[in-house]
Amino acid sequence: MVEDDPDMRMAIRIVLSTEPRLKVEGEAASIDEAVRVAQTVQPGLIILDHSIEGEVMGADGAPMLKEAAPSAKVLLFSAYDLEARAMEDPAIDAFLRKDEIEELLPTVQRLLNLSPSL
Amino acid sequence: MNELYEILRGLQLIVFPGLALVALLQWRRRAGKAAAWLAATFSVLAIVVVVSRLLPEQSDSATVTWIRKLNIGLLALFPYFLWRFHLCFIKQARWFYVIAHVLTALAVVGALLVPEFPRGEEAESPVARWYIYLLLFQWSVLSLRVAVRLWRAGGGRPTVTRRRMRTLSLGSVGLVVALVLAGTAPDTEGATAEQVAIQLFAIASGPLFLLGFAPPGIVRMAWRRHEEAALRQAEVALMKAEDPSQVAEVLLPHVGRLVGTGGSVLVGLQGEILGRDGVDEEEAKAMAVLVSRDQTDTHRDPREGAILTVPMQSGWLGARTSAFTPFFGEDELGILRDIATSADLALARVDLLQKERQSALELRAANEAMRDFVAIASHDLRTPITVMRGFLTGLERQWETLGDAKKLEYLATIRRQTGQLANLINDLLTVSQIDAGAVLSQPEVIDVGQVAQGAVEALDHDGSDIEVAVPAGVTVHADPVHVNRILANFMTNALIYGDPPIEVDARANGEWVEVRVRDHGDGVPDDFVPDLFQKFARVNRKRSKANQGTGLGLSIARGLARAGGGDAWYEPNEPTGSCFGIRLPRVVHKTADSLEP
Repeated sequence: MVEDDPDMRMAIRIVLSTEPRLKVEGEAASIDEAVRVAQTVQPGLIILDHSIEGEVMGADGAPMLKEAAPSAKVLLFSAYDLEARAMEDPAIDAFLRKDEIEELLPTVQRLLNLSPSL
Repeated sequence: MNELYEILRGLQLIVFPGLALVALLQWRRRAGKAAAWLAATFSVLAIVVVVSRLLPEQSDSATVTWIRKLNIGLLALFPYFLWRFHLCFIKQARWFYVIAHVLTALAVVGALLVPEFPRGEEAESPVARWYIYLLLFQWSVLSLRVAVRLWRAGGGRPTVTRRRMRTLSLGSVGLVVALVLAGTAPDTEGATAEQVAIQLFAIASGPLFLLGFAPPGIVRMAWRRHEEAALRQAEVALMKAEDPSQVAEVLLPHVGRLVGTGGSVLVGLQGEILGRDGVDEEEAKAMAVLVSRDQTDTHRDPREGAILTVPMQSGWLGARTSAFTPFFGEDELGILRDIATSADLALARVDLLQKERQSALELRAANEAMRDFVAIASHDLRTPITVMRGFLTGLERQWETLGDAKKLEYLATIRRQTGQLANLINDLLTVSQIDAGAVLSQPEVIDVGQVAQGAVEALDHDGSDIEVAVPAGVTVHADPVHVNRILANFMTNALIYGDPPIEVDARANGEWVEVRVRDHGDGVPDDFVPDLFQKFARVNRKRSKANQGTGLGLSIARGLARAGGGDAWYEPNEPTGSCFGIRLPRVVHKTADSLEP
C-alpha cells in the first residue's frame, strides 16, 4: 500500500480486512520507499495513491514499481480523476477513484482473480 | 552653319537668364545657404551672358573696356560660387580651400589688370592669352572638382537625390568643356563646326543644371518609382507583422533608402525603442531621447546631416538625414511622413493583435487555473469522504467483533474528517464569495491589540509561543471577524511552518495601520513567494495534508483584507523567518482643538 495519509491507510486496511485471503504486506509513503518494500515482499498487488510524499508522483512511479515487482498488479487509487492517464500507462493495471472506496475490495479481488463468493 | 550658330547664341540669352530666375525663385522659396550660393552662381552666369551680348563689339570707349573686363572677372566667379554651393554638403580639405581662393582672386583681379582683351578678329596679346589660360585653369579645377565630388557623393543616395546631384555634376562638366573649347579654339571667320559645338555644350548644360536643382514633379516621380514600388511591397509585408519590432524591421530600411544612409529608429510612446536600422544601440538610445521630446536635432554640423523627428499617434519616427536630404530630397521628407502613417496603422494593428492574444492567453490561464482549482478542490473534498466511508464500512461489517475502544477510535477519526471537510467547505464558500466580489465587510472601530489577542486565544493550536506586542489604543476601521480570521491564519501558518518566537506588532503608516506576524523559521522559499497567495498554494502539499490545512488560508486572507479596502502581503523577516502583514484603514483620534467649534 503506497499512501501517505495515515487515516487513509487505516481506512484501506479496514476495507481490505473483511477479505481473509488478503494481507497487507507492506506500506510506503513515497515511491522510493515503495520500490524498496516491493523488492523485498514481491506483492501480488500494489494499491498506489497519486498524491504522495517525495519528488515522484504515484502514477509517474508506476513503471518503477513494476520493475521492482514484475508480477505485481498496480491499482492506482486516487482522489484525482486519473482514469484516462491510467488507461494509457501499461504499468497501471486499473484505476479506482477514492470516493468509490466501496468498489475497492471487488476491484482488488478481480485483479487477483479471487472469486468474491468465497 | 552661321544661322545655326546665331540661333544657339540667341538661345543662350533665354536659357541662362531663365536658369538664374529659377535659381532665385528657389532661393526665395527655400532660403538656406545652399540655395543662396546656387542663385548667386546662375545669376553671375546670366549677367555675364547678357552683358557680353549687349556690349558693342567695336567700341573703344574706356567704359565699355572696363565693363568688358569686369564681365570677364565675373565669369571667374561662376565656378567659385558653384564650388561654394557644394561646400554646403561636402567638407573641403584646407589646401584646396587656399587654392580655390587664390585662383579665383587671381582670375578676378587679373581680368581687371589685363590691358586689353582682343575684340573680333584682333590678335590677342601674350598677356591676354596667359590670362585666358589662367581663367580656363581656374574654371576647370573648380568646376571639375565640384563635378567629381557631387557625382561621387550621389552614390548610395535615393534615386532622386542621386540623379539630381549627378545631373548637376554633368552640367558643370558641360560648361567646362564649352569654355575650354571656346578659349582654345583658333579664331576664324564665320561660324565653324567647333563654334557650334561650343554653343551646344553651353546650351545643353542649362537643362542639366535645371534638372539638377529643380527637377519637375513628373521627372521626380519617374525617378522615384523603384523606391515607391519597394515601399508598396513593404506595406504589404507590414500586414503580416506580429509585433512592433517587425513593423520596424519592415519599414526602417526604406527610411534609410529615402533620406540617405543615416539610419533610423522607431520609438514608442514611452520613449522605448521599437526598432532601429543603421545605427548602433547607443546611438539609437540617444536618438530615442531626442525624438521622444519631439525635437529635431539641428545643432550638428549640417554637412553630417541632422536627426529628423516625425511624430506619430503611437510614438515617433526618427531618421538621421544626410546633408543632401533637405536640399535634394524634399519629396522624400514628405514620403517619410507617409511611412510614419503606415507605421502608425501597422502599430495600431499589432497592438490590437497583441491585446487579443493577451486576452486569449489570460483566458486560457484562467481556464487552467479554474481546472486546477476544481481538480484540487475535488481531490480534497473526496479524501475525507473516502476515509469516513472506509471507517464506516469497518464499523458496519465488524460491529460485532470490534471492541469498544476500537469503535471509539474509528468514530474519533470520522469526527476529525468531518471537521476537515467542514473547514474545506467553509473555505471554498468564502473563496467563491471573494471571487464573486460578494464578501460583505462590516467595518467598525476595533482595537488591533484586542483582536490579535482574541485570535491567539481562539487558535486550535497552542498559542503560548505567540507574543502580541501591539500598544493599546491602536484602532482601525475594519470587520473584526475578518481581521480575526486573517490574523489566525497568519499565526497558524507561523506555528506550523515557522519557528518561535512568533511576534505580532502593529505600526501606523500614514492613513493605514500595518499589522505584522513574524516568525523565526526558514522563511518562504524565494521561488514560492509569487504563488504564496494563490489558491491551494502550498510549499509542500504533503506536509500541509498532515497539518490539515486547506491551502486556501492566504488566498482568503488577502481576499478579505482587500474586501475591507486594505491588503495582505509577505516579506522576509530579518534576520530569518517569514513576515506576513495586513494593512487596515487607520482611525485617527480627533483631538479637542481639531473638532468643529
